[in-house]
Amino acid sequence: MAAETGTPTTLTLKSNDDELFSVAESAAILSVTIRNMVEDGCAGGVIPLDNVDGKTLASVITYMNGISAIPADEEKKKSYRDKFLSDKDFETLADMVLAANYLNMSCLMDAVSAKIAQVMEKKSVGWVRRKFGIENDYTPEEEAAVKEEHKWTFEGVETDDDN
Amino acid sequence: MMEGVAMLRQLIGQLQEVLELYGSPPPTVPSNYFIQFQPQPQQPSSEQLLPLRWCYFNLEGSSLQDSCYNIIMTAGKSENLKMLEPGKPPPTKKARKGRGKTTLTTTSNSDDNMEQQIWQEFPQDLFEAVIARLPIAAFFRFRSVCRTWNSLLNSQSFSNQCSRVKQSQPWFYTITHENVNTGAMYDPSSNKWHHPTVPALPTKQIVLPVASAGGLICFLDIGHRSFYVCNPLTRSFKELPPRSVKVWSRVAVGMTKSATSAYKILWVGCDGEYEVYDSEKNMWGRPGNIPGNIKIPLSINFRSQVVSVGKTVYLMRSDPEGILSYDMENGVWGQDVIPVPPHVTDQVLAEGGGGRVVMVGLVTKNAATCVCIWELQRMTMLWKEVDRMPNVWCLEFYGKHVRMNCLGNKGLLMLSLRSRQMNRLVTYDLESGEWLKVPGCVLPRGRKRQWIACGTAFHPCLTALA
Repeated sequence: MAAETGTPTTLTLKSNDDELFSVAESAAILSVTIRNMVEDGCAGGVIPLDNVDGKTLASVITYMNGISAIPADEEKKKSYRDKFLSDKDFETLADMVLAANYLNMSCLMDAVSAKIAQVMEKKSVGWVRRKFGIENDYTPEEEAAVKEEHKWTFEGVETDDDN
Repeated sequence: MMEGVAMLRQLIGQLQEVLELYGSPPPTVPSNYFIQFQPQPQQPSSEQLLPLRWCYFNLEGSSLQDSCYNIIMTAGKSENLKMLEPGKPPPTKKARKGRGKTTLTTTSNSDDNMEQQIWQEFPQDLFEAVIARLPIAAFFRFRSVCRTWNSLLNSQSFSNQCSRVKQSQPWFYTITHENVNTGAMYDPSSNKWHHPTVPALPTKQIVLPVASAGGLICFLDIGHRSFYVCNPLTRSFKELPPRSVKVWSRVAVGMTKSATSAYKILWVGCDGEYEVYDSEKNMWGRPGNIPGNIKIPLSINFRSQVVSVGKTVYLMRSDPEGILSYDMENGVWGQDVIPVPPHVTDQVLAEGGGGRVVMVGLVTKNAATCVCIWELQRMTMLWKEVDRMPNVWCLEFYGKHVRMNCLGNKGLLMLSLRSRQMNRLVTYDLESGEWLKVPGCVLPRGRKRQWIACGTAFHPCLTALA
C-alpha cells in the first residue's frame, strides 16, 4: 500500500474527466468497489473511476467524509444524509444514484433513491413521462382503464410540476 | 450644510423605500436575473415580487453547491496532485454500464432534452429501486405512466427492491356503516383516507376485516362461515377452503406471517374449538390441544382484536381475567391470569412493538373519562400504566358516557371514541407516545362524514400475495 504505517492512508481517485481527488482510505472504503480494490492491493496508484465525472465524484467524496466522521448513530447519519441531499437538483440526483450504484455504496444509493422518490411523489404522470423521457405506450382506452382502476390515488393530489 | 443634510435624508428615505419593496438585495446577482424585473411605473404587487425571491433562493442553492465543489478541488490540489494528461480533451459522454431503457422521448424542448439525457440512460433496476420507495398511493398513480411501470408488480427484481425498503407505519382498513361493502383506508403518513375498490371481495354478503399479517387482510363474513384473504392494494385475493366445524358461533381470529410469503390463520370459539389455516398447505388443521388448566368456556373478549407478536397470538379473556396465548408454529396454548386495573372499561390488547403486549382502555372516575395505556410486565404479570391521553382531549368527554372501539392495534392504534353526540377518531403511536386526531372519513365528492364500524391495521405491501 502507498502510505507508511502510522499516517492515515490516503487514496487518489480519478474521475472520468481526469480530475484527481485525494480521500482518506477509511472514508473511501464506504464504497465496496473501492474497498475490493484496496483489499486486492490495486489501490496503490491512482484509482480510475470510469463511470463517475468530477463534479459527481466531488459530491460523493463530500458525502464519504461527512458520513464517516459520524460515529455509529443512525439518527445522526440519517439527518446528515437528508441535509446533504437537500440542495441537490433532480439531475444531480440521477448522477449521484448512478455513481452510488457503480461505487456500490448501498447507504448512499438508498438515500438518493428515496430522495428521488420524494420529489416524484408530488408530480403528475405527465411530468414523470417528460422528465424520464418515457413514451406513453398505452392506447387512450387502456390509459383511462388503468386510471379508473386506481382512481383513489388521484383523488385530492396536488402536483407541483413547475419546479 | 442644511441643504446637504436634507438631500442625504431624502436619499436615505428613498433607499429605505426600495429596500421595503424588494427586500435586502443579495450580494451578487447576475444581471440576467433582473431582466424580467424591470422597474415598473406603478408599485409592484406582492405577487409580482414572489418570483424574484424564489430566484434568489435558487441561485443561493446552486452557488452553495459550487463552492462546496471548489473547496474539495482546492483541498485536492493543495496535496500537490498533478493533473494528468492536460492535453487530452474531456470525454464528451460519460461511459455507463447497464443501460436497459430503450424508451424514447416525445417532447421537443431542447432544455428538457438536456435534462432528460441522464434519465434516459437510467438503468431499469435503478428505476425499480426508486419506484419501490414511492409512497403507496403515488406508486399506483404512476402505474399509468407506461406499460412497464404498470407491470412492475409482476417483476421479481421489483419485489426484491420492495423487501429492502424499511417498513412504514401501518395503514388502517375500515368498514363504514354507510358503505359496508367497500372499505376506507387511512394512511397515517399522509393523513388521508383512501377509498379503493377491492373488486374481488364478495358483495352479496357483508365481510369484515378481522386480522392482518404481512400486508394481507383476513376477512370473515358476518355469519362466521367464510374466510377471505386479500391484499387490499392489489387484486390478490383468495377464499379459504371451508372449515370443518359446522357451528357458526362467534370466533376470534388471529393471523401470523410464517415463512417469507406464507401465513397462518387461527379461529377459536368460546367452547374451545379452534382450527389453524396454513397457506402453504391450503388447508385447516388442529395442531395441539387446549390443556386442562385453561378454563372452558374461554369467555373471549371479542371487543379486543387478537394481537400477533412473532409467531404467537394473544387473546384477551375474562373469568378469569387474563391473556390466552397460542404458538402458531408449535401448536401450544398458554394462559396468564392478569387482573384488569379498577375502573377500566372497553379494554383491548395491542402490539407495542419489540414484542411488547399493551392494553388500552377507558378509565372512568366520577364523571371524568380518560384513555389509558398499560404495558404488560412479564416479571410480575401485572398491567403497568405507561401513558394516558392528553387532559385537554379528555375534557371533551367530561360527563358523557363514552365507548371506545379499537380499529387497529399494530404499533399504531386507531381508536374510535363515541358518545351520543360525538365521534372522535384518534391515533396513538406506541413507539413515540404521540396522540393525533384523524380527519373525518368523507367519500370523494361526498359531504357526509362516514361512521367507522370496524377495522384492522395492516402494513401496506405491494407484493404480498393471498
